[in-house]
Amino acid sequence: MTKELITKDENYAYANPQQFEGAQRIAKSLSASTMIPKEYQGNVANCLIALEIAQRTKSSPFMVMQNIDIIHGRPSWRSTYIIAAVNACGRFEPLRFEMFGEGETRACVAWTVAKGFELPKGVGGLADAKEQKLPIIEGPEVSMAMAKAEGWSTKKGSKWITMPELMLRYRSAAFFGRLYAPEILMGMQTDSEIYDVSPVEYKEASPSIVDTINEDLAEPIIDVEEVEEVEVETETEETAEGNEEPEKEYKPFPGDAPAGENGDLLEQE
Amino acid sequence: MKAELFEDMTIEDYHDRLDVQSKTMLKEFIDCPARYKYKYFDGGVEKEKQKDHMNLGHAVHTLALEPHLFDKTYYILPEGIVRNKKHKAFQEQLKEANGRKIIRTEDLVNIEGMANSLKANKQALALLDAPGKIEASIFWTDPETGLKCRARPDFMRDDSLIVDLKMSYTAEPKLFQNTAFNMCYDVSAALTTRGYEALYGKKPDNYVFLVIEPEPPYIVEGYDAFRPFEDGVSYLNVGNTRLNAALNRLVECKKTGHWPGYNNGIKPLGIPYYAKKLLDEGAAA
Repeated sequence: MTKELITKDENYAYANPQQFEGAQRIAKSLSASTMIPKEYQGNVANCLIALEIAQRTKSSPFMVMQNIDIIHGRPSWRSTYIIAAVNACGRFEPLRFEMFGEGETRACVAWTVAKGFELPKGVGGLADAKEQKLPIIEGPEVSMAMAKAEGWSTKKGSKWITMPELMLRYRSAAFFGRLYAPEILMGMQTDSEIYDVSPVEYKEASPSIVDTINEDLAEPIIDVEEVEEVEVETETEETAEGNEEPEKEYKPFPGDAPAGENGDLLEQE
Repeated sequence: MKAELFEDMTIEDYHDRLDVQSKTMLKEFIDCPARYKYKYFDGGVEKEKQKDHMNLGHAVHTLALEPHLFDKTYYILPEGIVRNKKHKAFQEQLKEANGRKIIRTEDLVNIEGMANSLKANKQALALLDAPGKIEASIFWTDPETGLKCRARPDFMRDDSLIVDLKMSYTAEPKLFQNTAFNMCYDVSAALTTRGYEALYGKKPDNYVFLVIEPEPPYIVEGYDAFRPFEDGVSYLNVGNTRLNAALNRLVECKKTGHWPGYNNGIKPLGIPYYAKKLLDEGAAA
Protein backbone atom coordinates (compact mmCIF):
# COMPACT_ATOMS: atom_id res chain seq x y z
CA MET A 1 0.00 0.00 0.00
CA THR A 2 2.86 2.38 0.86
CA LYS A 3 4.47 1.80 -2.53
CA GLU A 4 1.16 2.27 -4.28
CA LEU A 5 0.49 5.50 -2.46
CA ILE A 6 3.85 6.98 -3.33
CA THR A 7 4.14 5.90 -6.95
CA LYS A 8 0.68 6.57 -8.39
CA ASP A 9 0.92 10.34 -7.99
CA GLU A 10 -0.72 10.98 -11.37
CA ASN A 11 -4.11 10.24 -9.83
CA TYR A 12 -3.93 13.03 -7.30
CA ALA A 13 -5.30 16.57 -7.33
CA TYR A 14 -1.98 18.35 -7.75
CA ALA A 15 -0.43 15.84 -10.18
CA ASN A 16 -1.02 17.84 -13.36
CA PRO A 17 -3.18 20.75 -14.62
CA GLN A 18 -5.94 18.46 -15.96
CA GLN A 19 -6.13 16.54 -12.73
CA PHE A 20 -6.16 19.80 -10.80
CA GLU A 21 -8.97 21.21 -12.94
CA GLY A 22 -11.12 18.14 -12.32
CA ALA A 23 -10.37 18.12 -8.61
CA GLN A 24 -11.19 21.82 -8.40
CA ARG A 25 -14.63 21.18 -9.89
CA ILE A 26 -15.30 18.48 -7.30
CA ALA A 27 -13.98 20.76 -4.55
CA LYS A 28 -16.35 23.52 -5.69
CA SER A 29 -19.37 21.27 -5.49
CA LEU A 30 -18.28 20.01 -2.07
CA SER A 31 -17.78 23.57 -0.83
CA ALA A 32 -21.39 24.39 -1.71
CA SER A 33 -22.66 21.74 0.71
CA THR A 34 -23.95 22.72 4.12
CA MET A 35 -23.37 19.19 5.44
CA ILE A 36 -19.61 19.61 5.64
CA PRO A 37 -17.83 21.33 8.57
CA LYS A 38 -17.76 25.14 8.59
CA GLU A 39 -14.05 25.35 7.72
CA TYR A 40 -14.87 23.86 4.31
CA GLN A 41 -18.18 25.58 3.52
CA GLY A 42 -17.59 28.06 0.72
CA ASN A 43 -13.84 27.42 0.91
CA VAL A 44 -12.76 25.68 -2.30
CA ALA A 45 -9.08 25.65 -1.29
CA ASN A 46 -9.74 23.74 1.94
CA CYS A 47 -12.01 21.30 0.11
CA LEU A 48 -9.29 20.71 -2.49
CA ILE A 49 -6.77 19.82 0.22
CA ALA A 50 -9.28 17.49 1.90
CA LEU A 51 -9.89 15.87 -1.49
CA GLU A 52 -6.17 15.36 -2.02
CA ILE A 53 -5.76 13.77 1.42
CA ALA A 54 -8.82 11.58 0.78
CA GLN A 55 -7.32 10.35 -2.49
CA ARG A 56 -4.00 9.59 -0.85
CA THR A 57 -5.50 7.80 2.13
CA LYS A 58 -8.13 6.10 -0.03
CA SER A 59 -10.94 7.38 2.10
CA SER A 60 -14.02 9.48 1.44
CA PRO A 61 -13.53 13.29 1.28
CA PHE A 62 -16.49 13.65 3.63
CA MET A 63 -14.80 11.41 6.22
CA VAL A 64 -11.54 13.36 5.92
CA MET A 65 -13.37 16.66 6.44
CA GLN A 66 -15.17 15.29 9.49
CA ASN A 67 -11.93 14.09 11.02
CA ILE A 68 -9.48 16.92 10.49
CA ASP A 69 -9.44 19.80 12.95
CA ILE A 70 -7.43 22.99 12.56
CA ILE A 71 -5.66 23.57 15.87
CA HIS A 72 -3.21 26.42 16.29
CA GLY A 73 -3.39 26.85 12.51
CA ARG A 74 -2.27 23.27 11.81
CA PRO A 75 -4.41 20.48 10.39
CA SER A 76 -4.58 17.49 12.71
CA TRP A 77 -6.37 14.16 12.75
CA ARG A 78 -8.90 13.36 15.40
CA SER A 79 -7.60 10.55 17.60
CA THR A 80 -10.60 8.38 16.84
CA TYR A 81 -9.80 8.63 13.13
CA ILE A 82 -6.31 7.21 13.66
CA ILE A 83 -7.75 4.14 15.36
CA ALA A 84 -10.41 3.73 12.67
CA ALA A 85 -7.87 4.22 9.87
CA VAL A 86 -5.41 1.69 11.32
CA ASN A 87 -8.22 -0.81 11.74
CA ALA A 88 -9.52 -0.24 8.21
CA CYS A 89 -6.23 0.00 6.29
CA GLY A 90 -6.15 -3.75 5.60
CA ARG A 91 -2.73 -4.51 7.03
CA PHE A 92 -3.61 -5.11 10.66
CA GLU A 93 -6.16 -6.82 12.81
CA PRO A 94 -8.03 -4.29 15.01
CA LEU A 95 -5.83 -2.40 17.49
CA ARG A 96 -5.74 -3.67 21.07
CA PHE A 97 -4.78 -1.68 24.14
CA GLU A 98 -2.79 -3.21 26.99
CA MET A 99 -3.26 -1.22 30.18
CA PHE A 100 -1.06 -1.79 33.24
CA GLY A 101 0.43 -0.06 36.32
CA GLU A 102 -1.09 2.41 38.77
CA GLY A 103 -0.73 6.13 39.40
CA GLU A 104 2.27 7.58 37.59
CA THR A 105 3.26 4.17 36.27
CA ARG A 106 -0.15 3.69 34.69
CA ALA A 107 0.62 3.01 31.03
CA CYS A 108 -0.78 1.78 27.75
CA VAL A 109 0.63 -0.04 24.75
CA ALA A 110 -1.29 -0.27 21.48
CA TRP A 111 -0.63 -3.56 19.76
CA THR A 112 -2.02 -5.93 17.18
CA VAL A 113 -1.06 -8.64 14.72
CA ALA A 114 -0.89 -8.68 10.93
CA LYS A 115 -4.14 -8.99 9.02
CA GLY A 116 -5.25 -12.59 8.79
CA PHE A 117 -3.22 -13.85 11.74
CA GLU A 118 -5.51 -15.46 14.24
CA LEU A 119 -4.60 -15.18 17.88
CA PRO A 120 -4.69 -18.63 19.51
CA LYS A 121 -7.42 -19.18 22.05
CA GLY A 122 -6.32 -18.30 25.57
CA VAL A 123 -4.25 -15.28 24.51
CA GLY A 124 -5.93 -12.57 26.57
CA GLY A 125 -3.40 -9.79 26.32
CA LEU A 126 0.01 -8.58 25.30
CA ALA A 127 1.82 -10.51 28.07
CA ASP A 128 0.30 -13.81 26.92
CA ALA A 129 1.13 -13.07 23.30
CA LYS A 130 4.75 -12.26 24.20
CA GLU A 131 5.02 -15.37 26.31
CA GLN A 132 3.90 -17.49 23.38
CA LYS A 133 6.33 -15.56 21.14
CA LEU A 134 3.61 -14.62 18.69
CA PRO A 135 4.43 -12.21 15.82
CA ILE A 136 2.91 -9.18 17.51
CA ILE A 137 3.17 -5.61 16.28
CA GLU A 138 3.70 -3.43 19.32
CA GLY A 139 3.60 0.37 19.61
CA PRO A 140 5.67 2.42 22.10
CA GLU A 141 4.54 2.50 25.72
CA VAL A 142 2.80 5.69 26.84
CA SER A 143 2.65 6.34 30.59
CA MET A 144 1.36 8.98 32.97
CA ALA A 145 5.00 9.61 33.94
CA MET A 146 5.70 10.40 30.28
CA ALA A 147 2.66 12.71 30.16
CA LYS A 148 4.02 14.57 33.18
CA ALA A 149 7.61 14.70 31.94
CA GLU A 150 6.52 15.97 28.52
CA GLY A 151 4.30 18.57 30.14
CA TRP A 152 1.08 17.20 28.54
CA SER A 153 -0.65 16.70 31.86
CA THR A 154 0.47 19.95 33.45
CA LYS A 155 -1.24 22.23 30.92
CA LYS A 156 -4.26 24.18 32.03
CA GLY A 157 -7.43 22.24 31.24
CA SER A 158 -5.46 19.11 30.26
CA LYS A 159 -7.58 16.07 29.47
CA TRP A 160 -4.77 13.93 30.97
CA ILE A 161 -6.09 14.95 34.38
CA THR A 162 -9.80 14.50 33.71
CA MET A 163 -9.72 11.42 31.44
CA PRO A 164 -6.28 9.77 31.68
CA GLU A 165 -7.47 6.31 30.63
CA LEU A 166 -8.81 7.61 27.33
CA MET A 167 -5.79 9.83 26.68
CA LEU A 168 -3.37 6.94 27.28
CA ARG A 169 -5.19 4.88 24.67
CA TYR A 170 -5.46 7.76 22.17
CA ARG A 171 -1.78 8.63 22.47
CA SER A 172 -0.57 5.06 22.21
CA ALA A 173 -2.73 4.63 19.08
CA ALA A 174 -1.20 7.79 17.59
CA PHE A 175 2.30 6.50 18.32
CA PHE A 176 1.44 3.14 16.80
CA GLY A 177 0.05 4.81 13.68
CA ARG A 178 3.08 7.06 13.30
CA LEU A 179 5.42 4.07 13.54
CA TYR A 180 3.62 1.41 11.49
CA ALA A 181 1.26 3.33 9.20
CA PRO A 182 2.80 6.79 8.65
CA GLU A 183 1.21 7.09 5.20
CA ILE A 184 -2.22 7.23 6.87
CA LEU A 185 -1.23 10.12 9.13
CA MET A 186 0.57 11.90 6.24
CA GLY A 187 2.88 13.63 8.67
CA MET A 188 -0.03 15.14 10.54
CA GLN A 189 -0.36 14.87 14.30
CA THR A 190 -3.55 14.12 16.18
CA ASP A 191 -5.65 16.88 17.70
CA SER A 192 -4.67 15.99 21.27
CA GLU A 193 -0.97 15.91 20.40
CA ILE A 194 -1.09 19.44 19.05
CA TYR A 195 -2.90 20.67 22.17
CA ASP A 196 -0.33 19.00 24.37
CA VAL A 197 2.83 19.86 22.49
CA SER A 198 1.93 23.40 21.41
CA PRO A 199 4.29 25.90 23.09
CA VAL A 200 1.51 28.38 23.78
CA GLU A 201 -1.32 27.65 26.11
CA TYR A 202 -4.54 26.98 24.26
CA LYS A 203 -6.98 29.84 24.55
CA GLU A 204 -10.41 30.49 23.04
CA ALA A 205 -9.13 33.74 21.55
CA SER A 206 -6.36 36.18 22.30
CA PRO A 207 -7.31 39.33 24.23
CA SER A 208 -8.41 42.15 22.00
CA ILE A 209 -8.41 45.93 22.40
CA VAL A 210 -12.16 45.52 22.81
CA ASP A 211 -11.54 43.59 26.05
CA THR A 212 -9.52 46.48 27.43
CA ILE A 213 -12.25 48.92 26.44
CA ASN A 214 -14.88 46.72 28.09
CA GLU A 215 -12.82 46.48 31.28
CA ASP A 216 -12.43 50.27 31.38
CA LEU A 217 -16.15 50.78 30.81
CA ALA A 218 -17.24 48.21 33.37
CA GLU A 219 -19.64 49.65 35.96
CA PRO A 220 -17.80 50.52 39.18
CA ILE A 221 -18.65 48.14 42.01
CA ILE A 222 -20.37 50.07 44.78
CA ASP A 223 -19.75 49.01 48.35
CA VAL A 224 -23.24 48.35 49.69
CA GLU A 225 -22.28 49.07 53.30
CA GLU A 226 -20.91 52.47 52.32
CA VAL A 227 -24.13 53.45 50.54
CA GLU A 228 -26.31 52.41 53.44
CA GLU A 229 -24.22 54.48 55.85
CA VAL A 230 -24.61 57.62 53.72
CA GLU A 231 -28.36 57.16 53.40
CA VAL A 232 -28.81 56.83 57.17
CA GLU A 233 -26.84 60.02 57.85
CA THR A 234 -28.81 62.06 55.27
CA GLU A 235 -32.14 60.85 56.61
CA THR A 236 -31.19 61.78 60.17
CA GLU A 237 -30.18 65.30 59.16
CA GLU A 238 -33.36 65.94 57.19
CA THR A 239 -35.55 64.65 60.03
CA ALA A 240 -33.76 66.80 62.54
CA GLU A 241 -34.38 69.94 60.50
CA GLY A 242 -37.99 69.01 59.85
CA ASN A 243 -37.46 68.90 56.09
CA GLU A 244 -38.72 65.41 55.60
CA GLU A 245 -40.87 65.28 52.49
CA PRO A 246 -44.19 63.39 52.54
CA GLU A 247 -43.99 60.08 50.75
CA LYS A 248 -44.83 60.55 47.09
CA GLU A 249 -47.58 58.50 45.57
CA TYR A 250 -46.26 56.35 42.74
CA LYS A 251 -47.94 57.09 39.47
CA PRO A 252 -47.23 54.43 36.87
CA PHE A 253 -46.15 55.50 33.42
CA PRO A 254 -48.29 54.40 30.53
CA GLY A 255 -46.97 51.00 29.44
CA ASP A 256 -45.57 50.16 32.87
CA ALA A 257 -46.09 46.59 34.00
CA PRO A 258 -49.24 46.20 36.12
CA ALA A 259 -48.55 46.55 39.80
CA GLY A 260 -50.38 45.94 43.07
CA GLU A 261 -53.35 43.65 42.80
CA ASN A 262 -52.56 42.86 39.18
CA GLY A 263 -49.00 42.01 40.04
CA ASP A 264 -49.91 38.32 40.07
CA LEU A 265 -50.32 38.54 36.30
CA LEU A 266 -46.58 38.89 36.05
CA GLU A 267 -46.06 35.85 38.22
CA GLN A 268 -48.38 33.84 36.00
CA GLU A 269 -46.27 34.76 33.00
CA MET B 1 -1.93 43.73 -8.01
CA LYS B 2 -0.32 44.68 -4.75
CA ALA B 3 -2.67 46.05 -2.11
CA GLU B 4 -2.82 49.83 -2.17
CA LEU B 5 -4.02 52.40 0.33
CA PHE B 6 -5.46 55.76 -0.72
CA GLU B 7 -5.92 58.06 2.24
CA ASP B 8 -7.21 61.06 0.29
CA MET B 9 -9.54 59.43 -2.23
CA THR B 10 -12.93 61.14 -2.23
CA ILE B 11 -16.04 59.08 -1.61
CA GLU B 12 -17.23 59.95 -5.14
CA ASP B 13 -14.01 58.69 -6.74
CA TYR B 14 -14.25 55.57 -4.61
CA HIS B 15 -17.83 54.93 -5.70
CA ASP B 16 -16.88 55.43 -9.35
CA ARG B 17 -14.64 52.35 -9.37
CA LEU B 18 -17.27 49.92 -10.62
CA ASP B 19 -14.60 47.63 -12.06
CA VAL B 20 -13.62 46.72 -8.49
CA GLN B 21 -15.86 44.71 -6.15
CA SER B 22 -17.14 46.60 -3.11
CA LYS B 23 -19.38 45.62 -0.20
CA THR B 24 -22.34 47.35 -1.90
CA MET B 25 -21.77 45.50 -5.16
CA LEU B 26 -21.32 42.15 -3.41
CA LYS B 27 -24.46 42.66 -1.36
CA GLU B 28 -26.33 43.31 -4.62
CA PHE B 29 -24.84 40.13 -6.09
CA ILE B 30 -25.75 38.04 -3.04
CA ASP B 31 -29.31 39.40 -3.17
CA CYS B 32 -29.75 38.82 -6.91
CA PRO B 33 -27.04 38.15 -9.52
CA ALA B 34 -29.31 39.30 -12.37
CA ARG B 35 -29.79 42.70 -10.74
CA TYR B 36 -26.06 42.95 -10.12
CA LYS B 37 -25.46 42.39 -13.84
CA TYR B 38 -28.09 44.95 -14.77
CA LYS B 39 -26.60 47.55 -12.47
CA TYR B 40 -22.91 47.05 -12.95
CA PHE B 41 -22.51 45.50 -16.41
CA ASP B 42 -25.49 46.86 -18.33
CA GLY B 43 -25.31 50.45 -17.12
CA GLY B 44 -28.25 50.16 -14.73
CA VAL B 45 -26.44 52.61 -12.56
CA GLU B 46 -23.70 54.92 -13.66
CA LYS B 47 -22.18 54.65 -10.25
CA GLU B 48 -23.08 53.74 -6.68
CA LYS B 49 -25.20 56.81 -6.16
CA GLN B 50 -25.57 58.15 -2.68
CA LYS B 51 -29.18 57.96 -1.61
CA ASP B 52 -30.69 60.43 0.83
CA HIS B 53 -30.54 58.05 3.78
CA MET B 54 -26.92 57.33 2.92
CA ASN B 55 -26.28 61.10 2.90
CA LEU B 56 -27.66 61.20 6.40
CA GLY B 57 -25.43 58.37 7.58
CA HIS B 58 -22.42 59.85 5.88
CA ALA B 59 -23.14 63.26 7.36
CA VAL B 60 -23.07 61.68 10.83
CA HIS B 61 -19.72 60.09 9.97
CA THR B 62 -18.37 63.44 8.89
CA LEU B 63 -19.69 65.39 11.86
CA ALA B 64 -18.49 62.79 14.36
CA LEU B 65 -15.17 61.83 12.80
CA GLU B 66 -14.15 64.80 10.64
CA PRO B 67 -16.17 67.82 11.84
CA HIS B 68 -13.87 70.26 10.03
CA LEU B 69 -15.10 68.86 6.69
CA PHE B 70 -18.80 69.14 7.47
CA ASP B 71 -19.45 72.65 6.09
CA LYS B 72 -17.32 71.95 3.04
CA THR B 73 -19.29 68.80 2.25
CA TYR B 74 -22.87 69.63 3.21
CA TYR B 75 -25.29 72.44 2.61
CA ILE B 76 -28.27 72.92 4.89
CA LEU B 77 -31.47 73.56 2.98
CA PRO B 78 -33.47 76.28 4.77
CA GLU B 79 -36.85 75.26 6.17
CA GLY B 80 -39.88 75.68 3.93
CA ILE B 81 -38.09 75.05 0.63
CA VAL B 82 -39.45 72.06 -1.24
CA ARG B 83 -36.81 69.75 -2.63
CA ASN B 84 -37.96 69.85 -6.23
CA LYS B 85 -35.66 70.84 -9.08
CA LYS B 86 -38.59 72.46 -10.92
CA HIS B 87 -39.02 75.00 -8.10
CA LYS B 88 -37.11 78.20 -8.57
CA ALA B 89 -36.35 78.56 -4.85
CA PHE B 90 -34.74 75.14 -4.80
CA GLN B 91 -32.76 75.93 -7.96
CA GLU B 92 -31.33 78.97 -6.21
CA GLN B 93 -30.41 76.87 -3.21
CA LEU B 94 -28.63 74.39 -5.49
CA LYS B 95 -26.56 77.26 -6.84
CA GLU B 96 -25.78 78.31 -3.28
CA ALA B 97 -24.84 74.74 -2.36
CA ASN B 98 -22.27 74.78 -5.17
CA GLY B 99 -21.95 71.00 -5.47
CA ARG B 100 -22.23 70.29 -1.77
CA LYS B 101 -24.66 67.61 -0.65
CA ILE B 102 -28.03 68.93 0.45
CA ILE B 103 -29.32 68.22 3.93
CA ARG B 104 -32.73 69.30 5.22
CA THR B 105 -32.86 71.39 8.41
CA GLU B 106 -35.04 68.77 10.11
CA ASP B 107 -32.42 66.12 9.31
CA LEU B 108 -29.67 68.33 10.69
CA VAL B 109 -31.28 68.13 14.14
CA ASN B 110 -30.90 64.36 14.12
CA ILE B 111 -27.43 64.46 12.56
CA GLU B 112 -26.22 66.77 15.33
CA GLY B 113 -28.05 64.68 17.90
CA MET B 114 -26.30 61.52 16.73
CA ALA B 115 -22.88 63.19 16.55
CA ASN B 116 -23.33 64.60 20.08
CA SER B 117 -24.51 61.25 21.36
CA LEU B 118 -21.37 59.62 19.94
CA LYS B 119 -19.20 62.27 21.57
CA ALA B 120 -20.92 61.74 24.92
CA ASN B 121 -20.98 57.94 24.81
CA LYS B 122 -18.10 56.34 26.72
CA GLN B 123 -18.11 53.26 24.49
CA ALA B 124 -17.99 55.35 21.33
CA LEU B 125 -15.29 57.60 22.77
CA ALA B 126 -13.16 54.62 23.73
CA LEU B 127 -13.44 53.36 20.17
CA LEU B 128 -13.08 56.63 18.30
CA ASP B 129 -10.70 58.65 20.45
CA ALA B 130 -7.51 57.11 19.08
CA PRO B 131 -5.08 57.86 16.27
CA GLY B 132 -5.95 56.25 12.96
CA LYS B 133 -7.11 56.65 9.38
CA ILE B 134 -10.59 57.89 8.62
CA GLU B 135 -12.28 56.56 5.48
CA ALA B 136 -9.10 55.45 3.77
CA SER B 137 -9.63 53.36 0.63
CA ILE B 138 -7.97 49.95 0.23
CA PHE B 139 -7.68 48.20 -3.13
CA TRP B 140 -6.38 44.66 -3.58
CA THR B 141 -6.79 41.51 -5.65
CA ASP B 142 -8.43 38.47 -4.13
CA PRO B 143 -5.77 35.74 -4.51
CA GLU B 144 -8.34 32.95 -4.72
CA THR B 145 -10.49 34.29 -7.55
CA GLY B 146 -8.33 37.02 -9.06
CA LEU B 147 -11.17 39.52 -8.58
CA LYS B 148 -10.22 43.09 -7.75
CA CYS B 149 -11.70 44.23 -4.46
CA ARG B 150 -11.97 47.43 -2.46
CA ALA B 151 -12.99 48.53 1.01
CA ARG B 152 -13.27 51.85 2.81
CA PRO B 153 -13.30 51.31 6.57
CA ASP B 154 -14.84 54.20 8.48
CA PHE B 155 -12.05 54.25 11.03
CA MET B 156 -8.90 52.18 10.95
CA ARG B 157 -7.09 52.73 14.23
CA ASP B 158 -3.29 52.65 14.28
CA ASP B 159 -3.49 49.85 16.85
CA SER B 160 -5.29 47.79 14.16
CA LEU B 161 -8.83 48.00 15.48
CA ILE B 162 -11.40 48.71 12.76
CA VAL B 163 -14.54 50.65 13.65
CA ASP B 164 -17.53 50.52 11.33
CA LEU B 165 -20.05 53.22 12.15
CA LYS B 166 -23.59 52.15 11.32
CA MET B 167 -26.80 54.12 11.53
CA SER B 168 -29.61 51.71 12.24
CA TYR B 169 -33.23 52.29 13.19
CA THR B 170 -32.58 49.97 16.08
CA ALA B 171 -29.42 49.04 17.95
CA GLU B 172 -31.28 46.45 20.02
CA PRO B 173 -29.23 43.23 19.70
CA LYS B 174 -31.85 40.83 18.34
CA LEU B 175 -33.37 43.34 15.94
CA PHE B 176 -29.99 44.64 14.79
CA GLN B 177 -28.94 41.06 14.04
CA ASN B 178 -31.70 40.89 11.43
CA THR B 179 -30.77 44.21 9.88
CA ALA B 180 -27.08 43.36 9.89
CA PHE B 181 -27.56 39.99 8.22
CA ASN B 182 -29.98 41.34 5.61
CA MET B 183 -27.61 44.19 4.86
CA CYS B 184 -24.67 41.72 4.61
CA TYR B 185 -22.67 43.49 7.31
CA ASP B 186 -20.91 40.16 7.93
CA VAL B 187 -19.69 40.16 4.32
CA SER B 188 -18.66 43.77 4.71
CA ALA B 189 -16.59 42.93 7.82
CA ALA B 190 -14.98 39.97 6.05
CA LEU B 191 -14.18 42.04 2.94
CA THR B 192 -12.65 44.91 4.94
CA THR B 193 -10.67 42.49 7.11
CA ARG B 194 -9.23 40.89 3.97
CA GLY B 195 -8.32 44.29 2.58
CA TYR B 196 -6.53 45.11 5.83
CA GLU B 197 -4.74 41.76 5.71
CA ALA B 198 -3.70 42.27 2.08
CA LEU B 199 -2.33 45.70 2.99
CA TYR B 200 -0.57 44.99 6.27
CA GLY B 201 0.04 41.25 6.06
CA LYS B 202 -1.83 40.53 9.28
CA LYS B 203 -5.39 40.43 10.53
CA PRO B 204 -6.74 43.47 12.38
CA ASP B 205 -7.09 43.18 16.15
CA ASN B 206 -10.84 43.35 15.87
CA TYR B 207 -13.74 44.74 13.87
CA VAL B 208 -16.41 46.59 15.82
CA PHE B 209 -19.75 47.85 14.56
CA LEU B 210 -20.59 51.06 16.36
CA VAL B 211 -24.34 51.34 15.91
CA ILE B 212 -26.33 54.50 16.49
CA GLU B 213 -30.07 54.99 16.34
CA PRO B 214 -31.10 58.03 14.24
CA GLU B 215 -33.79 59.29 16.61
CA PRO B 216 -33.68 60.59 20.17
CA PRO B 217 -32.25 59.51 22.53
CA TYR B 218 -29.76 58.37 19.85
CA ILE B 219 -28.77 55.14 21.59
CA VAL B 220 -25.27 53.88 20.81
CA GLU B 221 -24.17 50.24 21.01
CA GLY B 222 -21.02 48.39 19.97
CA TYR B 223 -20.92 44.89 18.46
CA ASP B 224 -17.80 42.75 18.12
CA ALA B 225 -17.39 40.84 14.84
CA PHE B 226 -14.40 38.73 15.86
CA ARG B 227 -15.45 37.12 19.13
CA PRO B 228 -17.44 33.88 18.75
CA PHE B 229 -21.13 34.30 19.49
CA GLU B 230 -21.72 30.54 19.71
CA ASP B 231 -19.76 27.30 19.41
CA GLY B 232 -16.63 29.07 18.27
CA VAL B 233 -18.42 30.76 15.35
CA SER B 234 -17.86 34.49 15.02
CA TYR B 235 -19.65 37.02 12.85
CA LEU B 236 -16.46 37.18 10.78
CA ASN B 237 -16.60 33.39 10.16
CA VAL B 238 -20.12 33.80 8.80
CA GLY B 239 -18.98 36.72 6.66
CA ASN B 240 -15.99 34.82 5.30
CA THR B 241 -18.18 31.88 4.31
CA ARG B 242 -20.68 34.14 2.54
CA LEU B 243 -17.92 36.23 0.95
CA ASN B 244 -16.10 33.17 -0.42
CA ALA B 245 -19.33 31.79 -1.80
CA ALA B 246 -20.22 35.15 -3.39
CA LEU B 247 -16.79 35.67 -4.99
CA ASN B 248 -16.71 32.12 -6.37
CA ARG B 249 -20.26 32.41 -7.68
CA LEU B 250 -19.46 35.76 -9.26
CA VAL B 251 -16.52 34.22 -11.14
CA GLU B 252 -18.82 31.40 -12.26
CA CYS B 253 -21.51 33.84 -13.48
CA LYS B 254 -18.93 35.86 -15.40
CA LYS B 255 -17.54 32.70 -16.97
CA THR B 256 -20.85 31.17 -17.98
CA GLY B 257 -22.73 34.39 -18.71
CA HIS B 258 -25.62 33.02 -16.67
CA TRP B 259 -26.89 35.48 -14.09
CA PRO B 260 -29.79 33.92 -12.18
CA GLY B 261 -32.54 35.92 -10.50
CA TYR B 262 -33.50 34.48 -7.17
CA ASN B 263 -33.94 30.80 -8.00
CA ASN B 264 -32.55 28.25 -10.39
CA GLY B 265 -35.75 26.91 -11.97
CA ILE B 266 -39.34 26.86 -10.81
CA LYS B 267 -39.60 26.34 -7.07
CA PRO B 268 -42.54 25.40 -4.90
CA LEU B 269 -44.00 28.48 -3.24
CA GLY B 270 -43.65 28.21 0.49
CA ILE B 271 -45.19 30.01 3.43
CA PRO B 272 -43.54 32.31 5.95
CA TYR B 273 -42.23 31.01 9.28
CA TYR B 274 -44.98 32.75 11.27
CA ALA B 275 -47.62 31.04 9.11
CA LYS B 276 -46.02 27.66 9.81
CA LYS B 277 -46.26 28.42 13.49
CA LEU B 278 -49.89 29.40 13.13
CA LEU B 279 -50.65 26.19 11.24
CA ASP B 280 -48.88 24.14 13.90
CA GLU B 281 -51.02 25.79 16.52
CA GLY B 282 -54.14 25.17 14.47
CA ALA B 283 -54.98 28.85 14.43
CA ALA B 284 -54.79 29.53 10.70
CA ALA B 285 -58.06 27.94 9.62
